[in-house]
Amino acid sequence: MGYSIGVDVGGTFTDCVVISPDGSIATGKSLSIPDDFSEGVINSIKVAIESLGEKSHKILPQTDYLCHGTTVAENALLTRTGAKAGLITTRGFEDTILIMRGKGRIAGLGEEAITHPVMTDKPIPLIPRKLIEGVLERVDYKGRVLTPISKREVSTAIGRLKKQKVNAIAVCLLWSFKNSSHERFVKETIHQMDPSIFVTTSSDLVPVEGEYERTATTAINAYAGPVFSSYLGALTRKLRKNGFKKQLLVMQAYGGVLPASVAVERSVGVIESGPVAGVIASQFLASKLGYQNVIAADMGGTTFKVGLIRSGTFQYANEPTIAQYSMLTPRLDIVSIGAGGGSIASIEPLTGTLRVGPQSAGAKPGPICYGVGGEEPTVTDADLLLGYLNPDYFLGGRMKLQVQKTMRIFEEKLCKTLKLDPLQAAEAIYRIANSQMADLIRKVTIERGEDPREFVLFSYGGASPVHSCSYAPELQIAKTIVPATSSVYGAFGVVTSDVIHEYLLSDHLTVPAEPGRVSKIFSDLEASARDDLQADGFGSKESTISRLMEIRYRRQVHQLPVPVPQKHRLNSRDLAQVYADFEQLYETTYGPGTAFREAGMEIVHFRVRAVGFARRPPFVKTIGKGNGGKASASGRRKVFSEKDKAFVMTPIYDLKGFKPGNTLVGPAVIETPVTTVVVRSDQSAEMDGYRNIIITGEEN
Amino acid sequence: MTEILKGVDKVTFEVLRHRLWQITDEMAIMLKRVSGSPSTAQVHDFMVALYTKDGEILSGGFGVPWHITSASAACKYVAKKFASSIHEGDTFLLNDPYLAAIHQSDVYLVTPIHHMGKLVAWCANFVHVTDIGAIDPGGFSPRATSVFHEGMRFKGVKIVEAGELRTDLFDSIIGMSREPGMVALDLRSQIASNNVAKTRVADLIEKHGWKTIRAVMKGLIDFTEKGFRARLSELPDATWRTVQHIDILGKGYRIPLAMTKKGTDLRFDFEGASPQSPRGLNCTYWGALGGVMGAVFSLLCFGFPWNEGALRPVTVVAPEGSIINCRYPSPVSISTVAGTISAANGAITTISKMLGSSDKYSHEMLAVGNGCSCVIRQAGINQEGAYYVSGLWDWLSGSSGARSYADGVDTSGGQAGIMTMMQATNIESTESTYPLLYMFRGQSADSGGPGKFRGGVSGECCFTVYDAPEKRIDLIISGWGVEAAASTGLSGGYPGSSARFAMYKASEVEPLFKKAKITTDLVGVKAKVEELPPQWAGELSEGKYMYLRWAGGGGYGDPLERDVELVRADIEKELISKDAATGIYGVVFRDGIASVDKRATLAKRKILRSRRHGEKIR
Repeated sequence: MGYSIGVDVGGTFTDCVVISPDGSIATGKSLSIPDDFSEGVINSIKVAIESLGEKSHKILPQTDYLCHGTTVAENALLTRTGAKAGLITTRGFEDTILIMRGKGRIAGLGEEAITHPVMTDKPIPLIPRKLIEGVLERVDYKGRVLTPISKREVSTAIGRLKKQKVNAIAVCLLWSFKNSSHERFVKETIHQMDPSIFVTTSSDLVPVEGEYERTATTAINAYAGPVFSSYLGALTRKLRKNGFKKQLLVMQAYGGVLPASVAVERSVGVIESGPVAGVIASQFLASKLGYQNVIAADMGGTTFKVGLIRSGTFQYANEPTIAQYSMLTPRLDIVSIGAGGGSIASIEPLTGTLRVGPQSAGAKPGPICYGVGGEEPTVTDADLLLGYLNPDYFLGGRMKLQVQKTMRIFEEKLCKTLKLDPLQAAEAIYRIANSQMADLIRKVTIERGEDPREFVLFSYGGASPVHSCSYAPELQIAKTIVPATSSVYGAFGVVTSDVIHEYLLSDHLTVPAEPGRVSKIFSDLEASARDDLQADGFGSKESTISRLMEIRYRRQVHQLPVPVPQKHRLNSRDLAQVYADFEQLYETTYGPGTAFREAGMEIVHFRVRAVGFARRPPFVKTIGKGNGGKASASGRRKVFSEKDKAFVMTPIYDLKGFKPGNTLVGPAVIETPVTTVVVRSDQSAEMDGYRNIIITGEEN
Repeated sequence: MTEILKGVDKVTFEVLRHRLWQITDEMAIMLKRVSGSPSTAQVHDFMVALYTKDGEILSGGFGVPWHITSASAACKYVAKKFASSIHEGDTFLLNDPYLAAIHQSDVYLVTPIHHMGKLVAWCANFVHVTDIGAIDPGGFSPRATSVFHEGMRFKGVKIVEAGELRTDLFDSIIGMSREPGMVALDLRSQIASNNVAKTRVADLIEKHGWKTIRAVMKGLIDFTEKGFRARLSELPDATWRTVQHIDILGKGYRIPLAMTKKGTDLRFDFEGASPQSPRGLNCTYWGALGGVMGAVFSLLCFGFPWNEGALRPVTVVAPEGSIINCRYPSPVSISTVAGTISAANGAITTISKMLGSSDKYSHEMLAVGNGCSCVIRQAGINQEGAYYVSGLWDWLSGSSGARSYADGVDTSGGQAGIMTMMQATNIESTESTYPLLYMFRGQSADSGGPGKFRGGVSGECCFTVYDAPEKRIDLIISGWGVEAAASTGLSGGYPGSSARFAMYKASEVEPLFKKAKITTDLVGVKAKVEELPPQWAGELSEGKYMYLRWAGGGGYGDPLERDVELVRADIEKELISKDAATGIYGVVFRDGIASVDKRATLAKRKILRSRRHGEKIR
């Protein structure tokens, strides 16, 4: 058994977690290097390994799993620095990706943007019209070829794109998910004409109905593909040079990792995978701690993000968008609002009311108190004035926070209109930000029929544990956990992710379907699944394969996945049970009486999921070593108490001095160099055997 | 300022404002989840909103905005009519366009919200139900000549009484539809949506107390009114005018609008509108009011919650018996996409002219987009052998008008180019559900109104029946805007293209097929094509090809002032033709479009300008 390493690249820091063969964990942090992110990756690995007293060229050869979360693909997309990509599509439908079903102007935008339509625009096209080529061909809704594709047509189209020097081509033809022969033909022809062009076909990537979303997904994949591919190439070379021999694994937005050789073909799948790692880490931690339902709440500099774990599994997004494009690749459902530490507080001129966000000061110019140019009051500034943040211990004391300047700007910009003193203004900002976070959690729980009281809150990301003590009780969430690994939570999530391959086939079959045909589809998909797992080095004991059918009522748009028994030969009784399960699931999901039974059912997708289990740290409990007694405070300062509506002398604890089993009763502030945990006077806190801080309310 | 928020602290106000919006958001999600119909879940033809106990608008959520005000009228009507017999757990159904609703197929469900036994608020929603048993399938009835041809009409009935669904009534209602199963789903989704709102508002009152909530409700409305009036006070006092035209059965109907802003009041007067027509493109007063307010919300109320406060400074006057305020029992089933839209178009135009009179607000101007209607409904036997009624929503890919600083958004979605949330379905979804095959669907070059800033382009499509057991289906067209363009331009910008409906015969189209069994455009059809009138009910049968182009967005400013590089880029993007570049924009190229001939362009633009002087202005 060798080492496992997880590396997560963030905007500022690249984090690394190393799990030794004995299960012990080392962490490392280094600055991200935007010009060459792979350099930052290598540095963070070195830092982590050196903290073990080892050298990376000695440890990397003994490393079995190296899992990586990267923002390279999304950076290329958001800054429009991706490939010069072309698109080949069915003639007559060239504009599909430009029309965006008429939804691209507002897709994924919030209330404020949508209610100001004059200022809304579609995204700048990833592929301009002159790089979109229509070829004569047509397949019908059953997959029958109506008009065959011609070699001459295709070659001419490719020739024109080559002349314009494209280095990537997306191929998306109508109904290709029912019959992929035409797309395959285009792909082969491109390879013959110029093997250096990066090609991606929609039937390989997302064989799913809906030509706009399928084209958009394929186009983004082509657009980000070459950049991502050269990044992975460079990183792999560097890792090889340092002695790493195995396959690099890359984090996906659906919550698993894929070998680089597969991931390189699917750059769209890694976009926005960053926050996903936090949800995975939460899922792993929850499984260790025995929690089934978790709200994973991540508060960073600009946004507050929430993901759910229900019955131990995570939830997928319904209509995911990236940069206003609608996507078909599965993505974890993570919802965010502009309520982060850097969110700006301002006065609404008409009513004189205070508003928080969605504008953010980000990391630059940042909050006022950072003293790096910020001139607008932010949530972090409010946290400082309320005494939650320690001006002398931010980033372990590396950054002195400027209280006086913050007070002065609060006075100027907020206090006069609000007729409040700066500390009261800070309290108001704190309350508004907390209520927005509570609203977002309501949105992802109550609006989806979940009761937040049945969940445990995992609070992570720099600013989150300052606020969760306030919004958790508002939602009647009884228990909040601040994970011990929260400072490198993303890297921790990456290294605990399973390898997950997804296989999908679209074949609309009217129910009841012929069992022989269904069995054949699944055995074919599973054959690929087994091959891939084997190639990744997973035996049958370290992996699992599962089947799903997505079914819908004809004339209704919602389709739901239903598990299918793992039998080689399915019979009509097996399938009848699947249909019954679907009918039940539909009513549980959408409510009684919501099914349009008269229209009949149809099977839309066949899915197989192959999971190779990650080697997770055994996570030794250290409770026996703790003294079990009260934690001792390292100091006291005046901190705002929500309950007393006043500043009260509050004990301050240093996390370093905490031992498993230690408890304290609020009010209290627990400090670490990167995180501050606030415990209210009606709450108590305890460190568990894994060094997580657990905060509970009085009544519990 | 402070009296706006009497009795509420400002923080609680901000918290609750957020929360009320979220409740309408949740109502919309519930509609989409429960119904699962393409019209609701994919096209977004619905509206959700909250109202005060007196029926004043409290929170107009996302959705078709024309209905925010008429659902308010529905609440007011029910509150008055049923007064003492309104009980907790009741839900009322109403779709009478002469009482409140705009047309019958947008069925309103109105639910009272109680606290400690007292009526405290209302919630309401509509969806466009699949079929209401009118003369033509699908709810838009071009053949109707009276409201009695336009299907079931309710003046408010308790569909849910004290929490119990009245199955006798429910079964009778769905029994009047050609599509009972789908309508049952539509109604269930509406009930579920209001139930969510009711629970959430009740929770809110429970938590914050009725006194606080009442003060916040009032504060929100006052906030919007104050904000809106403050904005109006920054704009000059004057009257701005525009005219819209609706073509019905070959006859033009005129809808002039004079908008007068005085101090902090805004008056819209449709004086001089043509008399009502014999077909259902007329709207009732509610339709005219809704259209105007859709424009007011979208163009003047950004930054404020959309509620009653936006209505208070506004007066809408429409002559009785006119196409914009017809008399009972005139037909109105097409009004949501005709009279109402033309009221919206007029208001968009006059408001934009007013905004353009202010340095501070001129960047808020917006020309009209997708200004007319291309509604198509279809019915028949589908490829599974079952009878169905449904729509075709390609035209809701929309277009929006130009701005004073930028082009309009191409295929921007929705109607009139403002916030309607409506969008088109995928072709694959249409072809898998209905017996149709598309030849093409794309953006339509030259459809965007020329201008210094071009209107957004619209699109066009062509389809035929395919795998239809009866080799035919019914097609019902409820459009207008063919004879006269409806997407008005601004400040010298041209209007966006008109709509076009045409039926091509096999003998015209199939020569284009060569050996392909399809064609991807209709270029080269020489024969005289059958242009369809915009109000039409007939059939699409094998060997016939239906062509549709919806309206482009209006332009802004003189096209002769357009940056020549933008003109060239538009040709490259296939958004305008080379003919238009030269003939309308006056740009002359060398070597194809490789470079602009500057001198020839100057000369050409001079000629085009001087030619205008020679033109007679009527």
